[in-house]
Amino acid sequence: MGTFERDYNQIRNLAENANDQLIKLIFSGDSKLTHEQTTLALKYISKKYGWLYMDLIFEKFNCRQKEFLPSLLRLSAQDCDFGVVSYLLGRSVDINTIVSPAWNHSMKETILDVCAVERDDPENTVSSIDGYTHLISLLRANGAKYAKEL
Amino acid sequence: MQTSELLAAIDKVMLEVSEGMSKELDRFIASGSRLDYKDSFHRKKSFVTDMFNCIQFSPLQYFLSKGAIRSEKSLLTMGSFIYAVLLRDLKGFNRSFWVEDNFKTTNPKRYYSIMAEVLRLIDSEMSESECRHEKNFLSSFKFPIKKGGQDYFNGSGYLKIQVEFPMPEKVNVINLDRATSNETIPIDDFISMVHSAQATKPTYEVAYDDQISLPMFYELEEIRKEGRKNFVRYLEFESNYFEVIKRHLSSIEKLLDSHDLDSFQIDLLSKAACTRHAFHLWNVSRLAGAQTFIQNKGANLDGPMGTSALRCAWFYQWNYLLTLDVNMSEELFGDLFFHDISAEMSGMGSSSKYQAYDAVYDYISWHYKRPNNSVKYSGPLVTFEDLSEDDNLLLEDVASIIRKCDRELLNLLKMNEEFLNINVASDNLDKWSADDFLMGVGNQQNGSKDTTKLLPFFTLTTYLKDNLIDLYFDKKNYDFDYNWFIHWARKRDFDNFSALVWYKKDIGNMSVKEKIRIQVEEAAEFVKGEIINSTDPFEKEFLNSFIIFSETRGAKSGFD
Repeated sequence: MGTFERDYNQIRNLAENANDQLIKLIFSGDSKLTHEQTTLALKYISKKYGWLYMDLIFEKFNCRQKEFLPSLLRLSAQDCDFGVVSYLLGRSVDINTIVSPAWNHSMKETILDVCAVERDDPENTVSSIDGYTHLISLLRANGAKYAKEL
Repeated sequence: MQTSELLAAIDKVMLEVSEGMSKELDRFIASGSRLDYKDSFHRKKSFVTDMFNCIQFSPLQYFLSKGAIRSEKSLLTMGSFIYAVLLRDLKGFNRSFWVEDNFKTTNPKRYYSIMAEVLRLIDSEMSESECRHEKNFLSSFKFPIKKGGQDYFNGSGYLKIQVEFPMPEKVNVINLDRATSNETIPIDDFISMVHSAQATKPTYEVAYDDQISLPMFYELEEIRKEGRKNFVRYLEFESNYFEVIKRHLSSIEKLLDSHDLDSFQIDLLSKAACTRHAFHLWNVSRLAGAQTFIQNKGANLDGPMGTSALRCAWFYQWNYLLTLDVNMSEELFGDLFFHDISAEMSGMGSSSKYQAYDAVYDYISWHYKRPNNSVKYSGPLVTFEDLSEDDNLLLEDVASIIRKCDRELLNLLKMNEEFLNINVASDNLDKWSADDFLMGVGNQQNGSKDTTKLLPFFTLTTYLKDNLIDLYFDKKNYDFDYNWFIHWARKRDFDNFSALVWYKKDIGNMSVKEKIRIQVEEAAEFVKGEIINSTDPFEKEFLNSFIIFSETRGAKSGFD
């Protein structure tokens, strides 16, 4: 095995081990986390260490993303964490959750502002922009206002 | 578990991974780890691909954690850059530009801003002592805005007309004798007009969609001296030649379009086509006598690869004359230069299928090995065995197209033999001094030497080079920019470097010559520093040759 392979494998193993530990910590029964704690842990990781770890957890290990996405979105919206909200919206969060009466106006307004930014980002795909536009109309219909209108 | 315990546990894991990964990554970077290139090019590719597949937990995370780039598109682009740098794979660094072709095309501003962020991150993470070369390289990398302006230059009494592919069906002709006259006519009609008595003075400026694009390259004084007859013959010959080449390029393009090719394959095929043409043009130009001439001037041409700086400079000069640029390997050049030309050509005429790949093989080999007896060869040697079955099949297709094209061209050349002999009198070269050769095109275009008889070949080579490079770049959706010029210089890839020198296009309000002059000066300054630090004799020789190159054809001549 050459130097490159050794170094490469070491880095990969290190990362894989860390990821395994996180998954084990958050999703294994041993930790006995509540739903809220799991959501909090995910949000904590995404906010402090970057959303890439969310991808890792959600995609690579095929965890229960649908179960936690709405909760994560709500928490992030409460904190006005645009970065995570944007990321979660891009992961096909059920929009009916967002416009439900359970969501307060402040949270909806956060989502609305994020959607407006995403809608105007030419980097996004047409279908994605259409999705944001639709979400904006729903939020507006449910009384949400842009921050500048408040 | 209490929430506070949970978060502390997360931090512990993340701290471990951060520290561990940082340590490993630092070591990885510092050690200059790279593939042992006894391995094949494909093997290296597979590693890079593997790393991409592992991108979620790869060293990319280490860099991402330092920044706030959220887009998945950015992630891919950024990742490709980072890996290329980590692998010391500056060729891969280039390729990473093509990773997000569509993204770059649709949103170049965003694309370049991301690239800038990537480099900033990498730059901040690399210590000076560990990554001097990369930091120098990266810090030099400036991101372009989309270029504009005209694709031609006008100087020294010449009107150079860049050829556009495919050729325009109609051209806008302005008769300079009647400055207000301006009419759009089919290109065939224009050629006929030149033939006819209507064209009493062939002083035309030809415009097409704001870009000069007629397949012509004529020099007014030459036309006045030699008369209209030669000019017409010249046009006629060129028109026919272009037609053959155009068909050939179309065939190659269709071939490329008909397969779902990866970048390696496109690279391979494009260069196969280009290299073969360079070889062909060698035969056309019949400049073999120049070898004896140069040897008589005292140049040290001994040895399979030569060692003198003069010889290196010669390489570039011949590079231009024969349009060897991106596609002619040093080895193939050496074969042509040091061996009997006629024997080489007869060999090509009865080639086996492998012989059709010779140019490709040489090209690849040149890029990865150091053919110097005093330096132990440590680079990779890509052999035909390394090429996949698909690669080989595609190459056969290309070879078939090229062979067909060659037959047409050779017939055409035979028909024009008399005309060509008149224009490529080898004794003309005897009037040149060694300095003239080193100065090369500068002298020719300044008109200080009577080299106008070589015009048809400059025209042909210009046409081939520009169109083949266009084809090559277009397939990669590659928006050419002069930053690549300095990039190649810095990575000492002189065949690409040389190609870009001659692939001139205007950018904005800055003249091409000025732009290139500045870049050559910058590159020369960089290379001088590299020479001082280099302990590798081959590298020193190579870099020295660049200094000569820059001083003779760069800063001083301004590439006139």
